[in-house]
Amino acid sequence: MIFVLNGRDRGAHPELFEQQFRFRYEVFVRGGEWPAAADVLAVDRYDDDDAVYFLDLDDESRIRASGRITPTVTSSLIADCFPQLIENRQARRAPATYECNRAVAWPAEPVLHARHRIATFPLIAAMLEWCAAHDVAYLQTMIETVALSRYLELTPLTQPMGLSHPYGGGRACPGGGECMAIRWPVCSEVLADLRRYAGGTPGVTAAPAPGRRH
Amino acid sequence: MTRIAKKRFRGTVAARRPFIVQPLRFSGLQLDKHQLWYIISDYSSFRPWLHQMNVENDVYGKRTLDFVERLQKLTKYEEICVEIQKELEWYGLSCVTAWSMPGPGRPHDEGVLLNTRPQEYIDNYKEKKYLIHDRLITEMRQTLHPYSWKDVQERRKLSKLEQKIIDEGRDFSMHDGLIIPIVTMSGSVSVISPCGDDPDLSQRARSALEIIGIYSQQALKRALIREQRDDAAHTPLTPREREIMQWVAVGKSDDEIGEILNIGATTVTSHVENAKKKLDAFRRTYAVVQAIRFGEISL
Repeated sequence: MIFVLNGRDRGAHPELFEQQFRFRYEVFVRGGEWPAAADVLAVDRYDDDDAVYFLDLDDESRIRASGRITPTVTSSLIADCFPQLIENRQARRAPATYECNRAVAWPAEPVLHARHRIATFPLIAAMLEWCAAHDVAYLQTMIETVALSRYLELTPLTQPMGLSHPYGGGRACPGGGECMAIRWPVCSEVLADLRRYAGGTPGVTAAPAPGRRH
Repeated sequence: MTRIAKKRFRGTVAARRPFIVQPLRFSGLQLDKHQLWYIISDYSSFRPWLHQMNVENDVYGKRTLDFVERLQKLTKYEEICVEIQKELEWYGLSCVTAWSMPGPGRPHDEGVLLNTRPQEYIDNYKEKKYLIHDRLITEMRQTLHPYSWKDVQERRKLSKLEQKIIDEGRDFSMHDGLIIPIVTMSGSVSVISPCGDDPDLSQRARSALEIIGIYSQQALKRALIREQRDDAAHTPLTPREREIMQWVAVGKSDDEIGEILNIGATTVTSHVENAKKKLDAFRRTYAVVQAIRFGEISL
């Protein structure tokens, strides 16, 4: 079951938020072999009241996968830091466009690994269901170009927002690669594709009551 | 060089090259160390020395996005093929082959989605079984990132046969091309391989061609599956063929089926062959799978 939390729920569910931020730290910092930060909670400036979180919890309320979407009008990593990825002549920020980032699963796997897909695709399906219910027109995200074909298999309506750009010295360097921005129109066809993949509507529920075990 | 960078590059070719980490600037935005950590932590494998290209007045991005938009509206296989060829022509890529790598024991030409190389070249290539020797293809054992023919020639010392295969392509005005491996969700590998006389394979062109290739492969595959299903709907098995395939599915030989149905074994064989053609199957086992898939028989 995937739980949806709003940024403003942080006071009501401190334990889930703390677990999520520690989870990110484990994946991005320790799993990603980055230098440890002083604070072990991986929180960034986009973790504000407008952010919406999707948490896939196991029977013991441990996070198996988590993701975040933010309204691009106020919070967009792509618009702020990677504007060169957008080449589709569209506005970098739009009221009906949300952005997905920090989608992570444990254990941390390379993007081409089946376990990464199995863990993160239901989150994307849940995000798009949420977007459909909240009149969002597009959900955009940044991906490694090598994973594009998988997103296309998920739905052929996946739209590129620009060409891929090298990072880390490009593919010739160890640890380097290419990334690009894509988006999904929130429409019945895309939702049908995702439901077909997920074998039905993903189980999404509102936040659990504070302090309750599920 | 930072401690991390040193550790990562130690012992590699890159370690011996001068390497300078420049401060990051994105569209005039100077990021401090703290902000940078937030960004890189978003994608665990992204590294801080991300390149930024000048894409202003660049036609590659616009062309590619327009192509994808057009392609997404097409459903017919023939139309998709024309659109792909037209787009590749702009890059000087006059021929293209797209195929899914066949599984073990399957014929090499089974998974071909599109092939516009000259027939004479294809026949020669097949006859001499070049596929297993072609360095341009076997290079995929080393990398699943797109690479050009020239990349392979510069990277590897080719054997006489490998060089001969490339030289024979030159006789058909195929001097350079791009190999774009595509890893599917099931883990199998598909390839799209456009080539031409003097194609544009600049960095931006390659980025564009990779996206064009991935979208083309998916569109072709979907169109072929759709047409196969449509064709199957128009060529259903006859009641006799269905009955015989039902017996094939439970493992009976043609002789046994002939005895059960009180007909000759050769008649059974003839029905099975017809069913195989209708089900687009090379072998009996696959014909059974197809028959089940199309709802002709059940187990």
